[in-house]
Amino acid sequence: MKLFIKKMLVFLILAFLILSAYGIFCEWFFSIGKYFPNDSKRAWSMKQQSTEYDYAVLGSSRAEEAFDMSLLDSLIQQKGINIGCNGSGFVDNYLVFMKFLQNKNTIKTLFLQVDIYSMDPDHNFSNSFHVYNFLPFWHDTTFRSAISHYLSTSDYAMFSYFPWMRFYVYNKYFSPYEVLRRIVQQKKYSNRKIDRPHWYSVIPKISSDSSGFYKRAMSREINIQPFDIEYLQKILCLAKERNIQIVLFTSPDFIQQEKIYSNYHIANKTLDSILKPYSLILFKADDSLRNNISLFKDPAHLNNYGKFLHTKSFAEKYWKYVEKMKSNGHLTN
Amino acid sequence: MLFNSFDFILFLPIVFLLFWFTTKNNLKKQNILLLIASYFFYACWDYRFLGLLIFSTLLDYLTGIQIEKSQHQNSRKMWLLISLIINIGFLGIFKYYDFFVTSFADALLSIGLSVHPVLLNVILPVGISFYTFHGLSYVLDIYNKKIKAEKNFIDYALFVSFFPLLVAGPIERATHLLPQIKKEKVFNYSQAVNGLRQILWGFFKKVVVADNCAVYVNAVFSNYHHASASQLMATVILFSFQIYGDFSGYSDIALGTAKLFGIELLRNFNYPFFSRSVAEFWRRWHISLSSWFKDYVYIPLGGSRVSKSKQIRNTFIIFLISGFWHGANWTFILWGLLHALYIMPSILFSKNRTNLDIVAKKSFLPNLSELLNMLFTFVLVSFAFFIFRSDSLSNAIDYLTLIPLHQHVKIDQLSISYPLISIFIMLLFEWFDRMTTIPFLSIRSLYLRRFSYLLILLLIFFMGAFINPRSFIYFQF
Repeated sequence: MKLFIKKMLVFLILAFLILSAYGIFCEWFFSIGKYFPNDSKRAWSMKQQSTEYDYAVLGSSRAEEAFDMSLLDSLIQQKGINIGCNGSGFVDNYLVFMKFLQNKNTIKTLFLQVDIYSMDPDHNFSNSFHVYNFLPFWHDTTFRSAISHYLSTSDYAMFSYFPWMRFYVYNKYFSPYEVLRRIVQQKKYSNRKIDRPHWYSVIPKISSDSSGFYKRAMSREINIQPFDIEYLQKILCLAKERNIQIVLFTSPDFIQQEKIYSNYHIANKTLDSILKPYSLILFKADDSLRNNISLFKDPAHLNNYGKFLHTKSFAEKYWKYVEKMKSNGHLTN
Repeated sequence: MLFNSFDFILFLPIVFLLFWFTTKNNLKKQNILLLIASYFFYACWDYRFLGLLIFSTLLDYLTGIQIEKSQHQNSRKMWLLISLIINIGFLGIFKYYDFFVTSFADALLSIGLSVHPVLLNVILPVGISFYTFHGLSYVLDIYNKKIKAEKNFIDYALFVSFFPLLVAGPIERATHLLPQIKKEKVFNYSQAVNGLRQILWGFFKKVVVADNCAVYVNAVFSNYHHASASQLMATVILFSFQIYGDFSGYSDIALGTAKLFGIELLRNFNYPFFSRSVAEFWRRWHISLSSWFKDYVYIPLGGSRVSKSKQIRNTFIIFLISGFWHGANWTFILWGLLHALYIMPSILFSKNRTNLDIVAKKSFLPNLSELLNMLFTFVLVSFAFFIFRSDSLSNAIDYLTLIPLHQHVKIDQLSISYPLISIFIMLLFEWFDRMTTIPFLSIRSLYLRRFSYLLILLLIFFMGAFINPRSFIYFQF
């Protein structure tokens, strides 16, 4: 028995050492911006370093797809960055935004997309929170407290005592294969080439028979998640702490969406009431855009022409807002 | 509690250390400890069904004693019937009631009579098919005077509930397991090391092979209208490896775990994918179930010592029951029927007792004919497994009809590389190990063998699918 336990311990210690060594390597490799994957918008956003921007766009894929960024830059005569990410709710948005600011990037204005979809990512996104994107930052308490919400109790306990285990549980994203892929990819592309990436994969075009689509669609409900609202408030607080002006906006969705969600209007009112204490400007999407199915590639995302029209409309509203603020003496430049 | 869970990784060493360090080789203490651990293991899944397990145990324990005590044949038969009716009754209620009622309602509907059946919609208690069969074999063996009734309730309860085999077998026999339970366990170094080898290999098969295949298979099955022809076909093949990795992985972990406590369980798998015929496949696949049906159904029906027509009838009966045992769905029944049809030529031409040895016993590689036979058998078996996996017969037909049509669609971002790499490693190791019963033992060099333990352990960590750990397929049966 003693021999058995001795040999077992030797084997386990050896395995533990190898696994820990790889875990320590992962801690370093996956948290330095140099090797962030170029095919992930979140990683790309968190990779940005020490750059001065006038504004940033933050939100889900609907924010990502809401603007033609070159056009918006020229129309409002500012330099901006779109860090909206596919499938991200407010928790995801907060962490990306926080990391973006931690990396010494600066912005004067935040265009924050707020809508009912982001209030219920569990039901509106295929993956309500992308745990693996933030695991390299486990040792940062802000990241850990957000991630813990999405982990099972046993996983959280395991990661707390053996932090490197997170790289094995999510080995699909942190395996030696992924290390090699990132090294190869890092050599293959320069950062400049992906400065204005077209991240979004091709979504099947919405059927021209929109009534048919909505007949087939199931009746859904928005279940507002308090945890996500908490992180919306955190985004607003973080921006205020850094003296960043906040402009809220709602990206257009096809008007028939209101029929799919039984509580569409109630959820919108709830969102308004959540935002009311902050006294922020909110640019709601124009109904003229929302009514026109030919501007959408799917019910919640604009196509290129829709993006063009929305960018123009948004810029006009923003100019008016800036002029008004200047005349009231609230803005100096 | 799943074998592939953090809970089990904690549970096993604790029970192991308590077993060998606190019971001081005292048989009574050893068995009580194992029984408590087994009930705890079962309760972790759903404590509400622990009562059912204890009731079923008590029932067979008492009826066994009554059968042995009874002087008259009628009285023996009555006690046997009580046990059979209650055991099969439970199985019927939990597993088959809804199926029979809805099938009956469907049949009435086809002749224009509409009825609204009352469904129970109850959860199937995990392991019910396995522990019911343990109990049935025990009672039948007493009735047939093959064994004496067990008087010690703890020992009998442990026979039914021993945690490594409680939820998905192997289906043990009282003649094999009870004597081991009644014997004082003394630590055996080589047995324990073999147990660890099996546990390690079982984890590899489950977490790396089966669960990686499952990611692909589940993605295609849940969205097969959008899968390409090659994805649809690959899924049929991958599911065979998934179910093998899953179930034989479970069995290896169960056998290995039992060895750590000085108990040898029945072997459940013997490299079935190296079979050269379907008859050979059934001597190598889920051996404990097929031998159970052979001993308690096939042989009592006359087995193979009857006329050809009766032999054919018996074969169909046994495969249909085997399919039905897996669950209340026509897909399982068709799976059984297909295997009966596959095996028919070998019965008609009396060839079902060929290929008794493992393939290429005296050479390193199989010859061309053996290789072709293995491939042909694999294709037949995979097709039957595809039916087994389908949600319904109509889905299976729908799926098959899409294969020639789907040339221009595909599910994106579905990688087959991990499943293929893991299957290759598994087949490579199993090919070398095919003459042995314990994994890794074919590697002669001690250092190479130790290196392979480490390699497999690292592969588990680097390639295992741990996000949302999957339950074992056979837990649902």
